[in-house]
Amino acid sequence: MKLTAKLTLLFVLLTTLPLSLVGYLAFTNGQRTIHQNTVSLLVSINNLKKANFIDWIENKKDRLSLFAKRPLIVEFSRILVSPGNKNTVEWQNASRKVTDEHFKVSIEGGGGFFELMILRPGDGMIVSSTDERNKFKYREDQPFFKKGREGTYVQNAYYSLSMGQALVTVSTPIKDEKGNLVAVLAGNLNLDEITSIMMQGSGLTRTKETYLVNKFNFMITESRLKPGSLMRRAIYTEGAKKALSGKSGVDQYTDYRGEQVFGAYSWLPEYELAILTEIDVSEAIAPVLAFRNRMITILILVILLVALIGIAVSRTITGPIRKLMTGIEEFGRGVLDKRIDVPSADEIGQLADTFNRMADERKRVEEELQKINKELEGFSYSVSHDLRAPLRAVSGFSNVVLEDYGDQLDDEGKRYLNLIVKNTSKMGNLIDDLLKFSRMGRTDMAFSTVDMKKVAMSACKDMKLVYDDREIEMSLNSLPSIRGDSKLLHQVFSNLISNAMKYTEREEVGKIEIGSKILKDYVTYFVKDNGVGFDMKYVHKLFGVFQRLHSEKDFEGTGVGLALVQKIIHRHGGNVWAEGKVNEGATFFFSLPVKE
Amino acid sequence: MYENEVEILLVEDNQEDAELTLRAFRKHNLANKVKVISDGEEAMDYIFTEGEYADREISDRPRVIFLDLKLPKVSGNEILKRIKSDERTKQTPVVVLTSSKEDKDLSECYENGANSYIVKPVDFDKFFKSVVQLGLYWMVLNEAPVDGKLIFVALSMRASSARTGKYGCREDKDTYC
Repeated sequence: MKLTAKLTLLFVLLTTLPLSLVGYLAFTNGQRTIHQNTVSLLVSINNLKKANFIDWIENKKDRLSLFAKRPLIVEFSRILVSPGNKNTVEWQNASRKVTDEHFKVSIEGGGGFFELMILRPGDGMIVSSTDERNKFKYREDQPFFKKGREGTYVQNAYYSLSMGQALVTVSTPIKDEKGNLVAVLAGNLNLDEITSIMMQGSGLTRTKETYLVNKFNFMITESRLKPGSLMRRAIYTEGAKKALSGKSGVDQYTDYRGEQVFGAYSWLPEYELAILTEIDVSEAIAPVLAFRNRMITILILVILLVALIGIAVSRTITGPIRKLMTGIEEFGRGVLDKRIDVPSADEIGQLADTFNRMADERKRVEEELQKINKELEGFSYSVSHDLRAPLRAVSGFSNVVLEDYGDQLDDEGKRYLNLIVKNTSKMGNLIDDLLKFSRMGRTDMAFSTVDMKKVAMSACKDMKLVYDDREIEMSLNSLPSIRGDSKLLHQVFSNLISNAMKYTEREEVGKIEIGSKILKDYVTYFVKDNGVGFDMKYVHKLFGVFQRLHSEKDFEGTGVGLALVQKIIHRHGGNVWAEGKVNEGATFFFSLPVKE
Repeated sequence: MYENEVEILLVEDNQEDAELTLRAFRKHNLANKVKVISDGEEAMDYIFTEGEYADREISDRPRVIFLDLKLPKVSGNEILKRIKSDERTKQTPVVVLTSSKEDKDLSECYENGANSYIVKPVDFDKFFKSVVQLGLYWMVLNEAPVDGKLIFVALSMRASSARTGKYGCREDKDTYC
């Protein structure tokens, strides 16, 4: 991983970890607080609605019992309940007056009842009602009639088969001045009013609602969220069950819509009703979710910001390092005048200074080396000129003696002089080879992609001309191209092939094989022969200058050829080695690096 | 031109080489008009009629100059450069003699306008042949500079161990070589 990336990551981690921790704590804390708030809100609303409901119903009860105490109502009731005289004028009068002058006035005055009626205490027959259809019907089985004879009673939300609707009926006894029961006064209450009480103030939220459930699990107020539930929807939620079993409390459960809700529930024993106030969990915790989302947004922004800062800061660190790197690279490529300018006094600046000092030193050494090299060049130049001149004289004058005074010498004397000439010529060859060898270390190499097969073929051709009297079986396998100096590599093949030809002299047919093997980073080339070979014991001497494993009587040569091969291959960054066995041939290998 | 006092000028500081070269010339009857100078400065004076050779006529030039590169005081290359940049002398063919096989020397010689280049081998037999062949070649050519190319080709084939480079044919060098 690059330094910039590392540093940036470190910055991000250092800032986001504590931030995430704080965010998490704030989130859980907020969640708890909101939960508590929700719970207390639900409980208080539930209690408030309960109180509102009780107020409302008690108010209706009071109204009805006050109504029952009106002397005129008592008087008319007495007439209306007397048996057998309903067709009399008096009865008719009473009936009309009760409904028109009292009941209808009360209903229209907004007392909350939509129907008022008087029932005969004996058999529960409705003797008078604001709803003409109910007149003379019997209600002797209804609890409001039975209980209404004894005191003010509320019969909760039941479904009236006869009326085909849900009802809350309040009943109260009508008594005369002596306290005797005259009749039962009953009034049907409008459930819409309870609904509106329950719905009051819930408009501020999306899902909060309060509703009443009777002991038969039916909703007796309209649902805010699912209209049409009144007396039609049975509620078997956990909250409803607990409330109907007489408990009060707060819970999270699935409501009648299948939604997760927080719900406060309570049981109203005297009205046999459960009151529930619920709110969707999703709405209740919405602020927490909003908070969480805000936290995540902030976190992402912080990460981005910190990453930007991190990149900027690490640039100030990696910038000089990169400068240092490219400088060193350039220097490594041979730009010896390259110096790195990092003005800071920190470690990187010190490193740059150290490098610059090193570069100075390196340049000095390089220049010294170049000077020495030049001297050496001059030296070898001198050798090539001056060492040869005396040899030439020796050879030349020996020839002069042979030509001019040959008749005065016997055969032995002539032989000696010939030996002198031959040896001076050999020394000349030695000097030539040695110069070639030393020149090899100094001349510049011209790198290009070399077609090794072509080079080997050309070297073969050259060598066949030199050894034109020999019968050679040459097999040239495929040789991959490689980066190198073609002139020098030609020299390598020439020397190796010439060696192979020389040392197969005694074979009837010289067999020479040239091939290659491709390895991962190197290509290995080889030249194999079936000649006299050599003892592996002396393999380390093979590539030394003037080292020979065979006497000159057997095979002539100066002993420079293989040393030259080694030098060329080393200059290419490669390696040379050999394998052989006495009288079973030798193989010479050289490997060259595969470069881009 | 036949009245030339000196037909061959040999500038060679090595006495033995000079003696052996003269012997080779002598064998081919070329030695009677050979002048040997062993010092670079003296060679310069002789060729440009200066110093002790001030009263010599510059038009009385040798037909060919054999020039060793390694000379005391003034190097062979300096002499060569001056000969080839002077209008009066640049017609004279110059054969460079040297022990060096260095590419640098060779290219410098040709750049300076050497007509031929002979590496003095240790084996004197070869040397003799080269010197004599080149000596004859350039003398003949300088005598009749008409169809240089033909003579050049014919003779250079004989001068097997002598190197006659691309500056070998003077005026028409670019066309013919």
